[in-house]
Amino acid sequence: MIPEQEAFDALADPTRRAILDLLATHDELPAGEIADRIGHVGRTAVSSHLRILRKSGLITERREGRYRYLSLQPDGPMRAAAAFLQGLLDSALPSPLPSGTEPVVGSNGDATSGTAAEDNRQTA
Amino acid sequence: MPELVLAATKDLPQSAEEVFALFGARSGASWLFDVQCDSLRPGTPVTLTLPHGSLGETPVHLLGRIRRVVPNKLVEIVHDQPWPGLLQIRIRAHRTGGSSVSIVGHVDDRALRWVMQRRGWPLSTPCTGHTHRIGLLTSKIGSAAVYAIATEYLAQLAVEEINADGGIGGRPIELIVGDDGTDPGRAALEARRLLAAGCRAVIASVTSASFAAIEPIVAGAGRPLIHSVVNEGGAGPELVLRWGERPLHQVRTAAHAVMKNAGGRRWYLLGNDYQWPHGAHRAATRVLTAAGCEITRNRFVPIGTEDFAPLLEDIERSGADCVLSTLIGADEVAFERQAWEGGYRQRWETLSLVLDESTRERVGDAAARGIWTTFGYFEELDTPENRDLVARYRERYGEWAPPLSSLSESVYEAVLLYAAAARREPDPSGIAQALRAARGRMPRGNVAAQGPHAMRQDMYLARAVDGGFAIMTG
Repeated sequence: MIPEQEAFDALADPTRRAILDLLATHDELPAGEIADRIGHVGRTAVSSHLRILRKSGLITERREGRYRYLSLQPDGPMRAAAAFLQGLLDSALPSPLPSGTEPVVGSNGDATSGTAAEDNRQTA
Repeated sequence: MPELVLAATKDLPQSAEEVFALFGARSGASWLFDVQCDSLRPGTPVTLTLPHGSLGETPVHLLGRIRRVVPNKLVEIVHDQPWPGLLQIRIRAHRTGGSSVSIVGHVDDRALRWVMQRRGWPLSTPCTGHTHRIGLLTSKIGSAAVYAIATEYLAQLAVEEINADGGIGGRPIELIVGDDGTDPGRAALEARRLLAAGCRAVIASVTSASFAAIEPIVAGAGRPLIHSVVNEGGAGPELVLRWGERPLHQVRTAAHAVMKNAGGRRWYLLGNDYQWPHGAHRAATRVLTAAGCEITRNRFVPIGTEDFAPLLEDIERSGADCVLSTLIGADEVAFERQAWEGGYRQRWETLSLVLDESTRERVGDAAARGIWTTFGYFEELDTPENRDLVARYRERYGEWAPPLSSLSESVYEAVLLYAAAARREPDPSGIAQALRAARGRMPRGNVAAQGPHAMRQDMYLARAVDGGFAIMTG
């Protein structure tokens, strides 16, 4: 799976969004405390949500003894957003027409006929 | 802010001329080549519809304009909504036939933040305490995005001017921007985010549906809330200020001239289905029935309506001489374009209560010609304060920045009036008290708050002409 898709899929889940909201208001939280605060799902489920968030680059983990501390990875989503915009630009390229198809004459007919001087004007 | 430059390139079997002809032909070539625009002349507004579902259920439109065109070689589009950026499309002819297309996109941090927020990333803006934060809630997608294009630019301009003059209490103002996407549920979430970021006040340039959703949240948190745009009014808690133009005042200003041109007194009222259009139609009914008019129909359609053909037929059947439109943004654009394309423009006179400069140019010169509107501000207003503002705005954002209008300029004034109050008063309730008596000489002229629920201002009647509005009275 491409990384930005992974990050977006990770964000699609309400429990994972709740975890991210929690981390957004606290700099760092131990895994156990996250599980306590996300009351509506079990510890094992929270633990697997944390794994998905970590794998998709949205949060980072710091270990201290037997405790795991989690925090938001601020660069992670920015990279995912940049990759998303790149995908958008790739999909902006025209798809080739089936062979033998005449291109449709568009609404831009007026620009190709006679406004070249105006259109060539350089602008800031 | 650091710029991010993205590029994509592709070889195509078609000639450069054939590829250029695809641009704007709406043949399904791609979301970018299927651009909606009336011509390829520099300055023409464009709408680009991003692939469905890529950023949630609400359709996302990039709103911008053509900056430069070299036939068969180059098209440049600058866009402002939902994020600012530049798209350059270059076509190169191959010697062997065929061509290559390259697209370069320039964006900055604002694009990344908007995309992540749309996808559910909790944008946190840790409070440093070094700035005086104020929140701006606006609409970057959905119907209202059409008239909100310049809103953030004008808020930012006001903030920069106040900061150049020492800020508030020695601290610079920092603007935190929220986007409701023309959706009250999202407005509530964004209002909470602005408050969590430590905003001392919120200026809401959103529909009254979104405003109703955030009023208990912002006022409940003890922060002043200013509704700067056109609204239907109504009582609220002490911290809530509603300053925009009122429909009663708007309809009074325009009704006589509109009916005189129509040669009749039968009105059809058509609006979107939420608080403000309902309030506006009640006010209009009061004014019009008092003037001996007949209201033939009073219709409401959901925000996001695209097909107005059945309504246009119904207006014709009703025999109305005049139409009052309280459709907003993209809905108003679709209605007026379809009215013109269907040959209805000459059958009745139209008074539109939110046909601002930005909405007018997206209806297009030909389709908008002759529509009446009324506001307390137009970009064309010839006051010394407004000439200065327009010059500063163009200097700051360039010649292709979206036009100013009452809906965006009112946010500029709200920031200035808020700053004046916050410089004198230390706490939120003192600021709200001061705002109830706010007054000043603004680009729109003299304004004076009358208690929490009104701002006295002059009203201007205008008619859409090519390139803008002709101000008829004022």
